[in-house]
Amino acid sequence: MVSTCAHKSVSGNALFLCQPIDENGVDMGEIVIAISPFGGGLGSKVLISTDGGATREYVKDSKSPLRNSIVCVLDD
Amino acid sequence: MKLARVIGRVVLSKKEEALAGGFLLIAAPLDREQVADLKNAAVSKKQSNFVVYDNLGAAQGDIIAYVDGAEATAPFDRPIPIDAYNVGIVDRLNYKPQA
Repeated sequence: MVSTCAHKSVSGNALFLCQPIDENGVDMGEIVIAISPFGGGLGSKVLISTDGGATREYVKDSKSPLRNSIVCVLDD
Repeated sequence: MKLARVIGRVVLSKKEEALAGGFLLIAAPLDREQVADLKNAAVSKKQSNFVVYDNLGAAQGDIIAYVDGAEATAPFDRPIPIDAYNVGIVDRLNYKPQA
């Protein structure tokens, strides 16, 4: 996702569209947007944390509205 | 964050003082099918619209990324009665769902 007009805590962080999947890898639920410290390729499976406090700490902005962050990229 | 399309604006003559400095927009959430086909997507009848606080200046028809719940009030140093906050106006989405 590309956004030039955004909250200041977003700048410098890539935003990824993430599709939640069920235990069989089938798409489930609505798309969420997460920031990622790792990058992460198109189609890779990731784990998302919805810990707003940890995300605020990561972007070093105690007033950031961001919540979702990618915490790991799965090998397979 | 989630995606929504701005479909209107709320105008209030008397409002809570904490709301000053921003606009209130009416937004329609976007589901998978709508994100895949943004140009032709109609407003979903399944999901209800909501009001989102905006201080970026999103216009009618813009796609926005919003956050709801507790994080919506995080950017403010005062208590503010909002459910959703506009984090960014989307310029481009690179959405390629796997078959």
